[in-house]
Amino acid sequence: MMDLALDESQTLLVRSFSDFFTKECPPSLVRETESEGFSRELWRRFAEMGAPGMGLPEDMDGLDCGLLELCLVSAAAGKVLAPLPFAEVAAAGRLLARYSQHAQLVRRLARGEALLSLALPTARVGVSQDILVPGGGVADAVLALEDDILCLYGDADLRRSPTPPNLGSGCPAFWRMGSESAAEPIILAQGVEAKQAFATAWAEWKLLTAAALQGLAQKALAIAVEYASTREQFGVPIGGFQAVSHPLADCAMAVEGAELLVWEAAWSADQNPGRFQELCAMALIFAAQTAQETTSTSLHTHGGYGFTEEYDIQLYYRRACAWALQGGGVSEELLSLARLRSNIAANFAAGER
Amino acid sequence: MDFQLGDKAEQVRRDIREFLRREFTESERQQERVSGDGHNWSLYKKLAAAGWVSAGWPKEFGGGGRDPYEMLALYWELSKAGFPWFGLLNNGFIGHTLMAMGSEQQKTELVPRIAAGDVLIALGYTEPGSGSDVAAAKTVARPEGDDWIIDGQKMFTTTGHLAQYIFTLVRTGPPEHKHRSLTMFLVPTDAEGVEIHPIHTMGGERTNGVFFDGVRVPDALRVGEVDKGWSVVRFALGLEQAMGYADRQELFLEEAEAWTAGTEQSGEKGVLVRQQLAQMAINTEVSKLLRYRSTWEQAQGITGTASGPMTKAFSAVKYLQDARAWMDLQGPLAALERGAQQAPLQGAFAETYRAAPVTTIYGGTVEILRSVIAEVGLGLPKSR
Repeated sequence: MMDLALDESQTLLVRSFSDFFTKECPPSLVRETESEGFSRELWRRFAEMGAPGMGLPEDMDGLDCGLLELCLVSAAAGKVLAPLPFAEVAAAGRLLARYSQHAQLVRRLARGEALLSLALPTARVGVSQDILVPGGGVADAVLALEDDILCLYGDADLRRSPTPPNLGSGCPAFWRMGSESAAEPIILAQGVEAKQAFATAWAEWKLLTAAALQGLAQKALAIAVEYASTREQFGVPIGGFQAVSHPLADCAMAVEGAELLVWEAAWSADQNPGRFQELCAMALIFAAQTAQETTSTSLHTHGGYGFTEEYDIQLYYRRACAWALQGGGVSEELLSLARLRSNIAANFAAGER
Repeated sequence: MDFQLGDKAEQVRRDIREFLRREFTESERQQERVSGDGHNWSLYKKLAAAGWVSAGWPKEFGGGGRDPYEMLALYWELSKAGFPWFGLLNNGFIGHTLMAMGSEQQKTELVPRIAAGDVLIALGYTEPGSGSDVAAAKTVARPEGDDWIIDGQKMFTTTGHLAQYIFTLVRTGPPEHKHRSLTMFLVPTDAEGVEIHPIHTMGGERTNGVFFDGVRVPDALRVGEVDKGWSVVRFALGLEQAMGYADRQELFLEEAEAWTAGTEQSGEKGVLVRQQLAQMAINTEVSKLLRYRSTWEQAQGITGTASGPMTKAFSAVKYLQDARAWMDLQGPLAALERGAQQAPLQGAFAETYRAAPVTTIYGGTVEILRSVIAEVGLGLPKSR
């Protein structure tokens, strides 16, 4: 029977991470880490909360939590723009944990001692073998699918570029893959199994990134609502003007819709696996659109102040775009979603109706 | 967490699909296309006989005691099938309202007759001078003995020409009291002084303008207390706004997918078509989820949120957006309508283009809903 509420332990989880981030990741920290896009100290404390290992198996020092729990943490991190590659470490870690010979590295991930990311084929730079890896600037290793071979690349041979200056003040970096790579990667799996395992991890990364973008959008909307309630023009709070409040109402619908979509996708992993990849793609696209629309509207609500570095809303506006682009962007993702769904259309045309 | 409607609702879905397969024949569809009545007495009697008219009412009123998820499944399938369901929908809302706020006599005499499928009641809120500002109604009722004399005019009274009563919002006190001088009446359509004129819409529906000229109505047909009509309207409107149009979006998505598969879109155009298809699938999914949440809140007894208005506003805006996008993507053939041999899917796209705009208007315009969301959902100052 339908139940759209978080249970007690999930509610507690949200509260504890929300408290954690409020305390440990104020806007001042986000600003201090703008050039590195990563705070090692915050990551250490995050690891003390057990967060990096939440989605990993218990026998590898993880907590064996479900995807919904991971989404809740990712959304909480998104709300404060935490400079942590959580989605990357969580999704890549769960992929690596399928291969018990690498349990040692998985345990280090769970303890927060190592960082891992995914090389997304859609982030390849032209025809080169350089892939812009999200969180790649701080990752100790990267998982990549090359044709049908699942590879683990370490950074020992300096195949990683420094983090380039970037709009979202994140920590992506170029990793050189394939034959141009300085050293041979470790091969984890090959064939259909490798492809399916990577596709699942990619979908999980989309879902966790969607959750972060949804959290980002929710907080950006709250910032704008607060501003519109206190900023006065023509003698009244500007939130009383429909020209200001109606666009914010549109954002509110999208923000709540995005949250439901993220939750549905997370729920489907076990309960409706046939739709899992589709729903993850939907969640990422819709959360990206929502975050971009909401941060743009929210920035605009601030008038000229929103454009200044002093106000937080510009931090949200820039990341809404940059986070959404890491996996290729909305246009690219729409095409991939259409491919996933094309079977459904074929069945329909074949006379299901 | 669980996103399933549950076994009982899925059973309702199967049952009503079976009913539609059996009863909603091509000739009935054609009849609705021609008349645009939004109600078909012969089909409606069959629905009532099967218990669907009162399915959502409590058992103590002779209803089916179906839960909100079962009702969602029922409405979803009827709407998706294009069933002429305005009578059923309005009777459902009004029945609920009568059970919550009606007199003992209305509960014991009228409610069972609605359940039996003998009585149809149309909604009479809107007037020529008051749409979104529904509380500005100018139709007046003045007491005379034990009766009331009603004068005025209502607009967009869909199914009014087939109904026995019109659920009518009237002014019973000084207009400057606005919300505090309104009262609800069930005005019999066969009473002397009631005139009903057809209004035809671009979407193929027939609706009505209704004139009241010295219409005498017994006090027994008043619903709720004198001057307390606003709370009655708000209750009834709340039921309407929690639904949205995800069912119609789902049908439209299936049509677009069928068209795409059947025409092998490729090249640059194919890219645009596939992107739109994916976007539409997302719009439909989110509309469905917002409706699920409204329904879930209803089942949980959660009130005072903006979920209902969000459900309706999001889904109506996206439905209209998608309707327009598909016309452009298909090019000139999309403008061909039923009867033209080359019309894609027998003119389905032009039909949706015609039908979609009203969803952003009736039952509360998107602008009114945005204001509710801003005030109730976001806590922003009242803006009107």
